[in-house]
Amino acid sequence: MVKVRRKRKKISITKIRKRLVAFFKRLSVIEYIFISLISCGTLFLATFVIDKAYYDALVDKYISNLQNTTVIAAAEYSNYASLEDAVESGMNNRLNVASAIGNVRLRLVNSNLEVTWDTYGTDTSKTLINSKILQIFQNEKTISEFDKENGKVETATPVYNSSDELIAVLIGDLDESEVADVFEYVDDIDFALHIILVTVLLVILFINIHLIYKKLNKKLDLVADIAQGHTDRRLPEGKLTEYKRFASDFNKILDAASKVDDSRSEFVSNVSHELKTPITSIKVLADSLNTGEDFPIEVYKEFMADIVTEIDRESKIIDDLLALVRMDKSASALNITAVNMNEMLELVLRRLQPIAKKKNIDVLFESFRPVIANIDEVKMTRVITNLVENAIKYNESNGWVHVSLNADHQYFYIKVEDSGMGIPKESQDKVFDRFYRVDKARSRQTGGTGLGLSIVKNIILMHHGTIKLHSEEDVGTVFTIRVPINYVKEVK
Amino acid sequence: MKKITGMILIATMLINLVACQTSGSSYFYYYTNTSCVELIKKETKLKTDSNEEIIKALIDCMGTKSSDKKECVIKPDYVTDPTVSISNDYCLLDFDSSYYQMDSYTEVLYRAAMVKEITQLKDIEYVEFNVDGEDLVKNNKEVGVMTASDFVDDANNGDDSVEWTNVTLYFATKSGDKLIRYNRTLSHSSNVSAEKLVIETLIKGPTQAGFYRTLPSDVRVLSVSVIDGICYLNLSSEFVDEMVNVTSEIPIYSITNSLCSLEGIDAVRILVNGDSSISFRESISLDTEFEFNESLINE
Repeated sequence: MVKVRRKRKKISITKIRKRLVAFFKRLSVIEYIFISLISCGTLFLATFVIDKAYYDALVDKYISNLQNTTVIAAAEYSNYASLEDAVESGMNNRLNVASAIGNVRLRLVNSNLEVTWDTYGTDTSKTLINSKILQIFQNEKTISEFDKENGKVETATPVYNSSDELIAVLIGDLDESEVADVFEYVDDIDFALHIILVTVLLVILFINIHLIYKKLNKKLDLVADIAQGHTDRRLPEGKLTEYKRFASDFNKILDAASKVDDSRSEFVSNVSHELKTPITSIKVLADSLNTGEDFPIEVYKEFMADIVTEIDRESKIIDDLLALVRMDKSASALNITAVNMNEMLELVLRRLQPIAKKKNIDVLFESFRPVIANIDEVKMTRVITNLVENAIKYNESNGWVHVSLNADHQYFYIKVEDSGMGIPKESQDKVFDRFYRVDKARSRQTGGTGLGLSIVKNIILMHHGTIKLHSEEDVGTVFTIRVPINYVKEVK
Repeated sequence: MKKITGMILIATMLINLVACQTSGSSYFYYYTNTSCVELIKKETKLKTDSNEEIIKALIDCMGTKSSDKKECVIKPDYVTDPTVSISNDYCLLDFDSSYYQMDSYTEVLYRAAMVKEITQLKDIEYVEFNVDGEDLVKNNKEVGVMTASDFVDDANNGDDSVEWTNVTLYFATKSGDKLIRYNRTLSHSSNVSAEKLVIETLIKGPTQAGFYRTLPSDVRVLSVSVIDGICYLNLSSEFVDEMVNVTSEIPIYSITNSLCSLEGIDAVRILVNGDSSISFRESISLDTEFEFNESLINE
């Protein structure tokens, strides 16, 4: 039993640790900690720097005041020939006054290092060992010192008599508690300021971050919702620039995805419809043969021929579909070889000669120059075949088809022009769409699947070429394709 | 075996080198710095019992050159070491005439160092210097008998600049209408005047039971100076703004009596933020000099 309990304890500790780690990985927490540390750091640094500057300035001021008082008091002695004369004139009292006014302690030290007068009374007639005094008796310069450790401010200045002889040293000391008092006061303010500002900062920062991340998390929740399957939802844009940008792009992705979905469903439904049509015809034909009655053998032969036509049609549709799907998948699987375009075109036109003859359509091939291009022969053949076939199919009897081939140093151009029925303006954009047919009835008659031009466009795009169409109803149509002579795998 | 003998050799060498640092009680002695303007305190441990031996050992230590280049022996070489004689708490050092060859300031340094070193022994209080059997004369004055307190060493701030002053303070009784005397010896740094010390202690308040404060605890002393026997005390506004649970005379005379107990102060003048025309608690005008009031003291 004990072992189980221990395990549970271990588990809960790891759980707690995991939770802690997860907590600290949250951006809101990291930012909060970071910003509060930086701001607090800045605050403390600022008060520290200001305090130090103020402290230094204040000490300087105190020292200069002290120096002033001391030096001025010392200067009075130059009116007298000796220390004794000065004392007799009441100099000691004047020292007391100076001491009281300047709030400093003054001690006069003679050349025996004896303190002849201490305005605080304590050191009078004692011998004072003070390095400043000894230094002054050596080199006669005023010395001031601020002993930071003990908070002591002291100045020592030489005292000259009326004959300019160095007779004594006057030492001024500042009551150090004065300096300390000021700083206690400043420290108290510092402390209060720190506490208030840090508290205010932490609270405001907390609220601010909380609000920001609440909003953000709301959006993230919505995204999670969408990820779970509610793909019809969209993010509201809001007013903030970043959120607007994110929401608009995110929604665009969803829209594109849903468009893909939609077009896929549309494609599937189109395909099913297209595939069903021949089957339905076959069924009708077969059913009518299957009524149980006896028909003359010519009827059977006719209906069978029709059934075969429909089956062929279905087969062609399926082939085209497969070609299209395969092309979608393997855009990189081009079999590039050097192909003589003139020869290829002549071949295609020769193959199509029979159906052209049927409608008595004149097919003309014009080549401005010999063209050898690096292309996928099979696919390009299919393109030309499709275009020329269309030109023949959607043409009147006794019409014409012109195929021309030209090239410059970068591209080759093939123009397929016909005198057919043309394509109405509103359909001109859509002819390259899958399964689109301007006139459904008409193309059924001519045996079209609606996929031809989309296959053509696909192949041209795979070669990084362009295809354009110009058409006028009842006048004719021109398809112009432009393909790079040398296939470059990537187009920038 | 070799290692052990080696270690013993090194140990004895070290002991010889550090001749003045054998085990025993610790004593201090002085060097001076290179410019001869201050005393540098050094410590040593001595084992000898007799005071004479200790003093002689300290004189030796003082005379030994220091390994630190910044420390110098105070006494110049041409001055002979004195003979030491002790009777009870009095120590006499007899020098020869080479003593007078020292320059004035070195002489003072040396004398101060010697007196301090000698009086650190518990038994010895007084030191006298003789030159060739006669009293030491400096600037035509006999130096005479010296004690430790005759020398103030500003350099070593830690111990020497702490002064102990005996003050008499007057706090309030429980009923708040009378003053009780309170005697204390307070430590303070030497640059704090006795007056300031008294007032600040009053502000801090009493620490013993039975004594009650007379002044608000956050009063600040803006300045205090004594001129011609009158102490001018400038306090911050808390003195009148904040109330202490005593009758209105008590704060004023607590200050006055305490200050007048100091030597040199006969009367006290109180200002609040520099203003001397304030009426304390609307009843007592501060525009006067207050003197020691015996009637308020609770005997």
